[in-house]
Amino acid sequence: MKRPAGLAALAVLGACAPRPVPPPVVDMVALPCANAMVMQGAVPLSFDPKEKDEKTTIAILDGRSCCIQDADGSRRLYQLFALPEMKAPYILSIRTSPWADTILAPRGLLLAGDGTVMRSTSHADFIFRGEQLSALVRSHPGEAYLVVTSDTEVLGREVARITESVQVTAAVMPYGGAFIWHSGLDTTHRMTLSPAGHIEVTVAPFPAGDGKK
Amino acid sequence: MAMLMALAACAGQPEIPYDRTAAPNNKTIGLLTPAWPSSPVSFLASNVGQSFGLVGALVNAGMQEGRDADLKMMLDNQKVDANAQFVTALTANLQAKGFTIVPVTADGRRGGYMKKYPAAAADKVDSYLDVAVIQYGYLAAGIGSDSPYRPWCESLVKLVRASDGALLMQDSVTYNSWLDIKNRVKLSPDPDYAFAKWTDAKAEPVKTAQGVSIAAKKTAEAIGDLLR
Repeated sequence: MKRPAGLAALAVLGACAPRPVPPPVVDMVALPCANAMVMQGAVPLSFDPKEKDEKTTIAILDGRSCCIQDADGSRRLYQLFALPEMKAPYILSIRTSPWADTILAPRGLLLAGDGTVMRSTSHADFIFRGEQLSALVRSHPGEAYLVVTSDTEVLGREVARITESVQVTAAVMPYGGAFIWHSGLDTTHRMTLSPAGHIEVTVAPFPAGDGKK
Repeated sequence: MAMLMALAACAGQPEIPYDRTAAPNNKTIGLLTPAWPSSPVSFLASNVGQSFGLVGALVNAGMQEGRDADLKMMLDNQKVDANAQFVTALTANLQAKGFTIVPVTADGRRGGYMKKYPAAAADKVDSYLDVAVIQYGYLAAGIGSDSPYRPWCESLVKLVRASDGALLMQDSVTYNSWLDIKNRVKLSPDPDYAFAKWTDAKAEPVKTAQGVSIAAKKTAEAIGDLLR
């Protein structure tokens, strides 16, 4: 009789476990898109006022995000961030994480206060760091905004990543003590580069004592 | 243990991106002889021996030495010099980006970054590229056939301005790894080079050696691309 009760308890616990949220599905054709970027409502990037520690700001590109239509008709979701006003130079880390079988195809634009594009990343600037697609850029004077948008050049492409990992499992032995078992895992994760997804932007102060003699 | 300590160093160094506007005069790079391991490894990241204390560790160490010797012999027999291939690929990549590359002799067995860089005038270069390859060879996450041996290469890299030692770029690049180190550039291994068991790798020495070559070249190209 104990077994069904135990199974029921496990089922209840299982029901409480958080279910993964599916990635957003966006109908880019149906989405209302402007011909120019909307400069209001920029999300301020978190930063350490003492300019010592890194701080991360998180956003999501989905069907509720702003959309811009380029002259060639291509449409992109985007998120506008306000860059911090720091005295010292800093490093911006723009990252996107896998979301189920998709990952945002990211592109970064750095704008002046009047919205003029000062510089932009290309898809080659985004490389996998850990399991995140990431670009690192140094701050430049005169730049006020960061826009993270989808990169229409690579949308729909598939990315396959092979990942190795190890796990340590401990089992308590009936006569006392514990047995520790090490095992390895080799997985292949296939993802499609998507117009929507997670964004993380980290502001990190430029490391002090940068090796100058 | 030394390898794990060296890899842990990857986690401690902040990543500093290269910015051409911050180094407009960086035209000639002194490519220091890379720090390179004395021999390749065929590493099993998790194994049965780890569950059986000292005896298990000794048994595992013996098996590890055997695989390492196998791999070294395969590379020697195929005349594959991964270090030379790495330097050739890195030099070509940087030259294609418009840099002039000057080879600068350094201790290849230094096991990490240089402690001190030559005086700027010594080599007539604008910067020094210091690469430390921590490990290379093959890696399997576990003993099962579903966690095969795949090529592996772990490296640290920094670019230092010759005139004042300012750090122009610093990063770490790995081709395949079982460690999840935040922000480290992580290249996915070529799926064509996978051996379910080490005996399978030994049975195909040409392909096994090619896998090491590819890991070295791809790592070198990824390092070069950091100076985009």
